[in-house]
Amino acid sequence: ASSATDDLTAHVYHAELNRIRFLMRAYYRARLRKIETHAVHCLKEPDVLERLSDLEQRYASDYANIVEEHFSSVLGQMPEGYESMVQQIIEEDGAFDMVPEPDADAHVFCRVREDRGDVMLDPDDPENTMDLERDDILMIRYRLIKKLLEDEAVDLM
Amino acid sequence: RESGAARGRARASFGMSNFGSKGAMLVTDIAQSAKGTIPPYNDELARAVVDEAQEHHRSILRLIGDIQKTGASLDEAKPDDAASILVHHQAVLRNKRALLVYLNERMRRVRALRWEVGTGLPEVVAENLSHSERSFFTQYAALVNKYQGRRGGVGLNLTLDPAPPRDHKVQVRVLEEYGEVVTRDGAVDLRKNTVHLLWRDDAQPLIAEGVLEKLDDN
Repeated sequence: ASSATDDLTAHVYHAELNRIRFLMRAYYRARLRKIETHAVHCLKEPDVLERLSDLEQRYASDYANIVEEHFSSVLGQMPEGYESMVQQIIEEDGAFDMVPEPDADAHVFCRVREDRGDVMLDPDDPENTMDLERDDILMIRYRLIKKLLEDEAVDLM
Repeated sequence: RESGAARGRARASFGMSNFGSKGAMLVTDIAQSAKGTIPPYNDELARAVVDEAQEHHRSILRLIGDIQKTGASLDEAKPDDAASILVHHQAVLRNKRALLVYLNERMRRVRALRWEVGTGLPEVVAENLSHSERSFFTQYAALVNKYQGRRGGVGLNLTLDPAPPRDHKVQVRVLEEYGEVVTRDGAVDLRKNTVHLLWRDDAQPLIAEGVLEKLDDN
């Protein structure tokens, strides 16, 4: 009888261990995917770079390098001044106009975690406030709830 | 294939009558291919797009030269000439964008290979990749390995568990003769068509490789 209980306990522990491993793998994978999509952006913006672990920062840098090396096999043949991966045409004091950024104006679904009352979300439209109550679900531009998300007042769904 | 090359040469001999059409063809090439596949690298068309960009650039230099020969500075150029230069410049940029769309989408699919197939690139896929793409795959696979590794990495195989685990032991049938493997429970002889109950961690890499087939609980 006791060995049956031990077997069951072992099974439960194994299941839990596998679930934890899955979560960690999924977490790391999601972060790597995001870094790959916006590698140069991550490296360029200090407030994004500081959110990456040391290993991730090195990953972002190494990844950007192998992408550049690959692209240069074709871009290197382009006319002079047009070979850059980050600038359309190389100009003195030119901005890096070819670096994709996440779209902060994309719409997201989110759930409100705590009562916040009347909140001004859009600085371009300050009169238009929203009454945020706990468990409200919004579909709204990410840019407008970014701060609330960082304060953990809303969750993305 | 030959008639395509002949048509390509004919188009080139007409000059740049349709700005951007070659670039559009290149983007169509990858856009119309099935999502999980990588069609053969269209080296001929990619080169044609680059060559067209070089022709536009030569036109720009010629126009600039003509202006400077009259003794005028570029700022004093006639609107017609400025417009011509601008159009050629935009044509180069458009070709550049088309090339990058092509390379980038293919690169995305090459990356996916590392996660689905592992570090060994099947020959049937490799022959569709350009030399640079094969090199990128090798470097990318190594980069992921380094990140996953125990020394200097997170120490967790990230290619396992693409989906949440449901059972911690799985029933599998052996599809290819594989020989003996050592598991937590001891040695298991994976002979073709035999069925085994294995730990998920042991079975999963072999399922991904196609050696084992997961049996549903029925």
